[in-house]
Formats: sequence, structure tokens, C-alpha cells
Amino acid sequence: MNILEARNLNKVYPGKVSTQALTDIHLTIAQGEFVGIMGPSGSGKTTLLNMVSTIDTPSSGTVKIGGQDPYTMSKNDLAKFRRRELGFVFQDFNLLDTLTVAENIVLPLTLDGVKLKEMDERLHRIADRLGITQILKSRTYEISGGQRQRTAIARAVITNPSILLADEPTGALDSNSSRIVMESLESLNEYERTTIMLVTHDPQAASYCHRIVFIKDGKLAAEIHRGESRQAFFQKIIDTLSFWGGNAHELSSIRV
Amino acid sequence: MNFPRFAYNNVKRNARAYFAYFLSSAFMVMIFFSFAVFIYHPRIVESDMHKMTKTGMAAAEYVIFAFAFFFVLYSISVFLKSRNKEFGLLLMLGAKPAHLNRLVFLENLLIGTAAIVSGIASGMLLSKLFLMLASRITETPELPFYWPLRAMLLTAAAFALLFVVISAMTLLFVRKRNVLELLQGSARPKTEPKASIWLVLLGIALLTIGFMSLRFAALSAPMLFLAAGTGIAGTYFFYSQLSVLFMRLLKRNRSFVWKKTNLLWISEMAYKIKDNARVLFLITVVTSVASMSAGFVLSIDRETKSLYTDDPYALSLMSGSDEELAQDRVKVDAVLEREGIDYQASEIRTAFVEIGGEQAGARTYLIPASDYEGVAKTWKTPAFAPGTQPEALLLHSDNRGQAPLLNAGEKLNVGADSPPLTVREVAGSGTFDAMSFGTVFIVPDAVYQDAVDHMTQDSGFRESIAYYTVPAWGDAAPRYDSEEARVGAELEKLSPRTQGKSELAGHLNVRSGTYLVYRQFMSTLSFIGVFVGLMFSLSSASFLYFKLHAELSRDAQMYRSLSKTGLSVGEMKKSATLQIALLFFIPIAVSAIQTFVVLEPILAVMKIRDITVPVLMTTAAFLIAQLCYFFLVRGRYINRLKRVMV
Repeated sequence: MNILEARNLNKVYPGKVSTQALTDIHLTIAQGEFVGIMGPSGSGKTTLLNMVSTIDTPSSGTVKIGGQDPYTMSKNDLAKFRRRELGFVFQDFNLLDTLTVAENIVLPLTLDGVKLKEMDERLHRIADRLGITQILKSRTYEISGGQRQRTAIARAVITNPSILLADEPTGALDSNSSRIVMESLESLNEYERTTIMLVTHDPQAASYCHRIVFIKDGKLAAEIHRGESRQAFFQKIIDTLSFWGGNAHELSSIRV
Repeated sequence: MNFPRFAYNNVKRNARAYFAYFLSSAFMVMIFFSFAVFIYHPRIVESDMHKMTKTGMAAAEYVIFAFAFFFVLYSISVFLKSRNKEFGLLLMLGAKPAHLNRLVFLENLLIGTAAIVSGIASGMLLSKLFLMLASRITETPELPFYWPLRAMLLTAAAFALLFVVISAMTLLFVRKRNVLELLQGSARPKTEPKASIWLVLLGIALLTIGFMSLRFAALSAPMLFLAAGTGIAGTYFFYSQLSVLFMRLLKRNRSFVWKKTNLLWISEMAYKIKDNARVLFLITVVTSVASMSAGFVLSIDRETKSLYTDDPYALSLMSGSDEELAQDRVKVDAVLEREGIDYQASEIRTAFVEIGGEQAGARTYLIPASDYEGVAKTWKTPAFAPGTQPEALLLHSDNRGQAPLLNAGEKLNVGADSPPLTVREVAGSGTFDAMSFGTVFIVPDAVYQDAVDHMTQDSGFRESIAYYTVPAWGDAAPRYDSEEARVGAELEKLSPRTQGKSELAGHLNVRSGTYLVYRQFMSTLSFIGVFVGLMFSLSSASFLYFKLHAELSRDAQMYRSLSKTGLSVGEMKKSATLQIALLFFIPIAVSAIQTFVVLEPILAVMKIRDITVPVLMTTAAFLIAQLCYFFLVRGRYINRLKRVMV
């Protein structure tokens, strides 16, 4: 079953010099898939993510998430849709420092009026899965970057969304934290069957995906699939990036 | 581009950022100035009321200045905090701290000057309105506009001083920060406020002391100061400690907090409440002072309305002897006839003597029964015809809550040759209370004569009184331009109230004159009370607006990221509205309680027991004003937030 179906997506930013940000994008993501979107700066990765996350509307084409078209919804329904069907992970975490880790995680559930007992159950399950049970009572500025991102991931998936959208989740993290965060996402995908769409610059992070879609200048440029070995997949990503003309300095230094 | 030029361009080209700070400063200047215009108005200075008025107004002016100081200080600290990034950048570019000091100082000077000039300019307009309003309310002829040079000088000097002192103080805000801290600006997360148990106890102790000293101690000036001091300090701790404690306890109740938007606004409030403690404290104190003064004035005003209506006589003429009274009456009658006034007059003789019997040694008024006949009906007291037994009628006014001098059936001795009199009846009436005799014995004429004959210089005095009624003037309280007021003023020339030589041997009491003087005093007082209240409610609202404005960019960021993850506009509205509402209405609720607590014992001393209505009226007025500002501010705030919601 396809969770995400994007057909013929076009996005034009009008203005004195109008910009064609996306051209004829087709993208389908099936249930339980872990898909990466890569591409050089300004290639349209974020624009695509914004379309999928219903923050921006396409100039033409359709987006269906779980069979529903979010662009026909009213503003209030859309907010509810985002809350229930989509999970977001941002580069800068977007956690509220007025709340504790636990409160940050359950925030979407409280807005939906879920019962306290159920919230507690879900909270502890997800915290166990992500290894952040120890810090549930801490405040967001008392924990490390990796722990913050895992908190954000927990918040994103506690509602059991159809798809988890991650925008450069390792962008602000050191290599060790990056690894832990990516392993968390991988385990969510593996054990909870969470569908994930990951936008990233980082080949190391991207190597955790099943499939990577490359975008250049707003067009689909390539697609590669992961085999058995992550190490080999990583090499393939590097090759594809250099083949599709990303400049050398755009590649992060190799991390092991 | 030299340095002052840089500072000037900074202000000029970034006008929007400076605007809120400028506006709040100019606003305070405007209020201060229009008040000063009133104080220094030539008519006010010359009027015989000027001492009372001036004291009250000057006190209000001090309070405004103190408030302005905190307001401007708060504004600038918020303003400078929002510019931390800019200062960090300047330091990185190699500016010396001394440069920053000069920059802030120069900017303050520029903004201060602009604020003083525009504040005075708009104050000119406001004060014209203010003078019109003042004359309407105090029922005096309109005060003409004048060139308020003194008020201008005072305002300019006071605020120039204020800005210099404040820019000196603000240098402390900027200093002692390293470049990184400044560059990060307000992005650094704040730690959660904590309540200290000792400070909480201190706060409770202070509030208790304040309450006790008002309730259970005899009311005196030191006690009032103690209550004010502890009350104000206690209020501060209430906000800074008790509220934090309360929020922490509230947060423990997870089934309430983890419900819908509660989680959002409660945690934000818990966070901001310490931040806002000073703001809430300042607004509460100011609102309390204002509603106390307004409530006090309203309570007294209710009492004075009866002053006129209780007095049944338009004029009362008092003299030490019948002969003098006759002479005075000729003069008073002449004025009345000249003005063509129809009047009726009745005369009584009184003697203030020492009585014997069961209350031996007490001094009291006596009135002969035959004279009393003529006034009993007007006084609404029982008629008294002496029978065969030696009896007296005791008139007692109970407005001081004292027991009558004697009870019915008890005996008293008057004079030397008369037999002891038995009190036939104790009576009183509201009208009699207003005559301010206190206690009067109506005695048979012969007894009265006996008492007067045996009266010595030391043991008592005589007084003959002529009471005038003018049916045409009616019972309603007169306006300052009525015939009664005009003729009353004419008559008062015979016996001037303050200075000048009296043409009369005795004393003339003109009801309308007494009333109008009192009335004017009261309405000046209420005017000050109401005006101060209005201004404070206005400025506290603009204070809150400024605060919200300063926090807007942070809040906008938060709501934007929340809306990405599915916060709907309705939920944002709910959460933001609740937070703003608490800021606006907590001070009103607290100050209403404070007003009740403080006013009741003070007014109880003045025999005014029913303060519920005036206090509720004042609070309601504040509430209505605050509601208007609330909707205005909330509308703007939410509109701005709506724009960032995706």
C-alpha cells in the first residue's frame, strides 16, 4: 500500500524572476519504506518536503497521503491531519524549552484529548524504544543534542503517524549523536513499521535508507536501492552524488 | 560618518524598533504634563481651595512620576535586550564597551528629547480636554486655556533627569556580557523559576502583618504606613514566589495539565510568571492605589449627598443674644427682600448649660417649650407641651453611636429654683441629627428662664437662632449657577467664610454655600481619584501591550513551529488568549481584594460601613476599561500570530 503518492508535482515561485522550484516530480512511498531524498543545495529537496508536509501548496499536481488529499481540507482539519497523520523531525529540534522532555513528547496527544493513562503507556513505550526513559523529567536545555533529536522523534511518532518526515535530522549533531539518531530511526522503521521520508545532505545518514531519490534543479535525477551492505550503499551514494554533479565540497567528510 | 551621526542614523533608519520605546516614553510625558498643566493653572493656584487641591494633585503627580520611572526603565531594558545581537556584532567589529555606552546614551538622549517634545505637544491637546472635563466634573466655570510655561519646564526638567538617570542605569544592562552571550541574544533558554520556601514564608508573613495591622490594631498613621509597606512588599513576594509555587503545584496535577491546550499555556505561564512578576506587581500596586482612591472618594461622596438634603433650613442665623439677632436679621432680611425672595423665618432661644441630677456635670442645650413648638414639625421630632408635672423632652442624635445622656423616666436638675424634671421621652430624627446640636432638652419656659438667670460666664452661654426657609428653592441640591447659590453667595458677603470683617454680630450659615464648598472639595477629590485611576489603567494597559509586543517575536517563533506539527489556529487562539487574559485580569482581581481589605477599616473609622457598592463600582469601572484594552491588544496580538501560522 502506498502511503505517499505525489503525481506531476510542479512548484513555481512567482515574482519578478519566477523560479521553477520543482518540475514534474513523481514520488511514491510504500507502507514501511525508509526513503531518503538527496540533492545539492537549492535542488528543491525542502520544497518537496514542504509540499508533502502540507506547509506549502503545489502549483500543479496532486499529493495524496494515506489516500487523502490534504489540500482540499479546511485549515482546522489540516491542522488535525498534520497532528495525526504526519510526524515531523526538524534540524533544530523545535522543542519547547518551557516543557520537560515527557511533556514535549505527549504534547500532540494532549491537544487531541487522549486519556492520561493511554498517554503514559505510549510515552513509556516510545521512550524505551528510543532509549530516553532516563531523561523524561529533564528540561530540553539540560540534555545533549542527540537526546533532543530523539525527543523530537518520539514526539513525531507518538501519534502513530502514517509517515514520519525528517528534515536534516542530523544537521546539527556530532557524528556519534548522528549515528544514534539514525539508528533510532532505523529501529523505528524496522520494529514499528514506521514509514519514513528523510531529507538530508549527509551520505552517512542517508545510508540507513532503503531507497534514495536524488533531485537536481527541481527534477528527479536518480534513484538507488540499498542491498545487503550499508557500507556498499554508502559508497554508491557517494558515487551517485559525484556523478550527478554535486560539487566535491558539498560532500561531507567521510565518517565511519 | 562620525559617532553621533551613527547613533542618529541608527535611530532614524530603524525607527520601527525604537517606536515602541519612544511611544511608551512619550505617553508618560503626556500624562505627567497634562496633570502639571492643571496643577499650575492660575485659577487653581488662586482659588481658596488650592491648598487641598494642590496637595492631592501633587501627590498624584509624584505617583505618576514614580510609575513613569519604572515604566521607562522596564521599556528600555526590554528594548535593549532585543538589541543584544546588534551590540554583539558591534563588539565583534571592534567597538569598545565605551563606544556602546556612548551609543546607548546618545540614542537615549535622542529618543528622550523626541519623547519630551512630542509628549508635551500632545499633552497640550490632552490638557485642553482635561481642563474642560475638570470644570464639568467639579461644576466650576470652564478654566480658560493658558500658556503653561511652568508645567512645561517642570515636565522637561523632570523627564530630562529621568532619561539621564535611566541611560546611566541601562549601561549596566549591556556591560558585563561577553560577545557570545550578546550574539545569542534572547535565544538562550531560561531556566525554570524556582520558589524559595523562605521567601514564600516571608511573603505570607508580610501580607499577614499588613492585614493584622489594619484589622486588629487601632487605626493610626504609623499603622497605615506599616500596612502599606508590608502590603506592597508582600504583593511583590506574592507574585514572585507564591505564584511560582502555585504553578508548580498545579503542574503536579497531571490530569489537568495534560489536557488539550492546558499544557501549552500553563507551562508558558509558569515560565513567564516570574518574568512578569515585576510587571504584574507594578500594575497591581498602581491599580490598587487608584481604585482605593476612587473607592474612598465614592464612599464619602455617597455620605455627603445627604449633607444638603438633611438640613431643612436655607439659612440659619446665630447670635449670642436676642438684641444682636434682631440687628442681624434686619441686614439679612434686607438682602433677601432686595433679591425678591419669599421666605419664612422662625426663631428659637437656646442655652448651653450644665445640668444636675443623674448626669450631673454634663453640659447640654436647653430650648424653651414655646420656642420649640415653632420648629418641632420641621425637625420631625415629637411635639412637647409641658403638663402639670415637671417634665422635659430629650432630643438625641445618634450619629456618633453614643447612648442618650438620660433615659426616659430619669431625672435631671436645671437651674436653681426649679424642681427636678423627669425625662418624658427620648426622641431623635435625621433632620435633628443634621442640626448638629447633639443633645437638647426641651424644658418648660419657666425652667429655661431659671436656668438662664443662674448661668454664669463660665458655666454656659446663650444663643438665639433664626431659621429661614425658602419654599421656592425646593429640596434638591443646588447647582453652582442656581438662584440659591447666587443669593447664598450674596448673603455670605455679610459674613465671609474665610477672611474679611463680618458685618454681622452673629454667625450666618448658608446651606447652599456650605454644601457647595463641600461639594467642590469632594468633586475635586473625586476628579483626582477618577483621573488618576483612568490614567493608571491606561498606562498599565499600554505597559502590558509593550510587554506583549516585546515577547511577540519569540512567541511567533514558537507558534510557527507548533503549527507545523499540527497546532490549529483555534488552539493557538485559546492558548494565547488565556495567557493574555491572566496578565490583564489577575492584577484587577488582586487589587479588588486589596481595596476591600484596606478601605473597610479606614472608612469604618469614619462611620461608613457600606463600602461594597462603591468598591464594586470602582472595580467594575476598571474591569470595563481593562476589558476594552484586552480585546484590542488580544486582537492585534493574535492577528500577528495568525500570520506566522502555516
